[in-house]
Amino acid sequence: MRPSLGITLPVGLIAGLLTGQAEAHSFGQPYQLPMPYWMYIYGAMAALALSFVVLAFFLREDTGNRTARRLVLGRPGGHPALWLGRLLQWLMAGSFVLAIVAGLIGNQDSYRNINMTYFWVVFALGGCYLSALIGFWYETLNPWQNTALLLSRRWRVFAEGRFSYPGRLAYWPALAQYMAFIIFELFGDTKPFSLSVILLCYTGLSLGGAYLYGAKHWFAYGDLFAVLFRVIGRMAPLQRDEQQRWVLQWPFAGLLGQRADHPSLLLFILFMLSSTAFDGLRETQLWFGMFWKDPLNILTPLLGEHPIYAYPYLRPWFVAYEVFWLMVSPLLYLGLFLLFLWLGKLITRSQMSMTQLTAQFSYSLLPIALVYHITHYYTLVLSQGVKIRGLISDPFGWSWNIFGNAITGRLPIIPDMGFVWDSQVWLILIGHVASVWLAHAEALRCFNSRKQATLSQFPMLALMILFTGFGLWILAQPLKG
Amino acid sequence: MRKVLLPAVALVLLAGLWFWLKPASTAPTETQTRHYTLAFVEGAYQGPEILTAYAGDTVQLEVTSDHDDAMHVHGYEKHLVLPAGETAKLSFIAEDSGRFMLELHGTDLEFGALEVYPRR
Repeated sequence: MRPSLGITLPVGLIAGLLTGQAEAHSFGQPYQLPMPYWMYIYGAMAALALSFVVLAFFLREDTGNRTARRLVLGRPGGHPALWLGRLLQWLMAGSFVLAIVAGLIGNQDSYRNINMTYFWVVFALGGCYLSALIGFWYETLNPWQNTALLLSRRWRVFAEGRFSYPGRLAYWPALAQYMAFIIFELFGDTKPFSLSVILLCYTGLSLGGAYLYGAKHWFAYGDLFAVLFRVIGRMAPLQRDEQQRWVLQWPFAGLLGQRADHPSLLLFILFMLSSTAFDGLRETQLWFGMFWKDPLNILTPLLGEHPIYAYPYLRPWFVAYEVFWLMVSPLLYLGLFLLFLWLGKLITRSQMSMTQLTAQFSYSLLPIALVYHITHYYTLVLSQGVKIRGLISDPFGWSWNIFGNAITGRLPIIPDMGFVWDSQVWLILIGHVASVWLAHAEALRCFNSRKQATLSQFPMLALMILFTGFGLWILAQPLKG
Repeated sequence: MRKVLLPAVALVLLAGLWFWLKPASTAPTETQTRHYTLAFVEGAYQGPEILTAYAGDTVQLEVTSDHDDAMHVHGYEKHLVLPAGETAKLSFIAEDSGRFMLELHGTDLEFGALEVYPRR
């Protein structure tokens, strides 16, 4: 990347400062190369072609009112391993206590202290992917919920709450926490100590929420990870049914017939999609150049010099600019979603209100959001997450070797880029097909005729191709130096 | 019938698109030695921002700095001590493909990246 306008300042130095201090992920490096451009074109064209295949399938299909097919694996009402559940609950709570203590008193090297790897990679990313596989594990193992329930044995208020949960609060607290979480991830430059302080604040917030509104309601609506893991868990192939039996079903089939019960949940889902896209976009040359190269010549006249010369005092403003776009991003996605839904309503002359349509089609975006999240972050789980094995032997980074497998260096596990690119394209296509499929099944439920349902899906299909294409395009963009 | 035919059509479409769009490989068939010269003068980095190689290539770095410092190739975890005014050399085989940040430890300056492409 060479500066335009004849700038001779060492741009590499400035870009480096930004990358190193203001823009890196809170922790870990994904080591990913941009996807080859032809694969992006392939992915986009394949998404288009597959969309029409799905459309063709539904032309003569009436699956609207079917429920997901399930293979029952367990006995009704079976709780075969209550002791195991208890053990895992204590392990989960204990691991967070260890992570907090390690951050407060341990080595402040992020790669040697267990708490950074444990929280950012194993819990925050691994938790999402575990939910996508085995559903609602977090409802049983949520350490903050279990602590609140434990406290409720002595003080009932933690179970019942002082007030009833206000309906208008809905999922807004969870969304606010989600935004704060991503801001910490992208801009926080957290270290083990500060992460522990954040986790202690989060503990206070969670127990405070349970105290005010009762554990059941707070963790149903107000808590980030409870909502995030539950939303993702609906897509899992392995679930427990109403009779508490383990059942196996098609991935994403659990979303059939689901409704977003409040607009805040739709925004939560859209933020899942938009924050991942934003995280990918801000690492590209394009995003960097949009601000620092000032291609539209907006900043230069205002500053009286080219922005790259004004780096020292402009940098905080650049962070504010990025935070602004992060916060606005779900609204941009919402605008597109509403626009294409409205077009579908217009074409079909449907009498359904936009509120009804929004609630019914919200969940169909989730597969795209999930696969994009996976393609963006899964290499981090491979390169850094698996190192948790060694960190258990030396959680504080004090050169212990409790189990004889402590990490002696930082050498990560790096998957082959060819494999990463292939997996990114295929995962995104799978998510795209699942989203198109779900939206069409939903259309069959809510429109009177098959023809009306099919017509309504042309705008929705265009929207999903747009989201999928944009996701692939970001993955193919050159990264900044 | 339709439930078999449509997935079959999808597979044919995907395979057809793949072979139509996939370009011929431009990766060299033989491994090479990639030589790069990097310098740090008065706090500024002078050298390419992106060092490129293909998996299996040997990367040779010659680095000079006008102040004592140390350089780190992330991912490969290679460290190079940079005594002021001297030329330090680092050579290694880039076996893993990916994008690896280059960092100057004294100032925590991430000044560039090593991009190792898969040989495909």
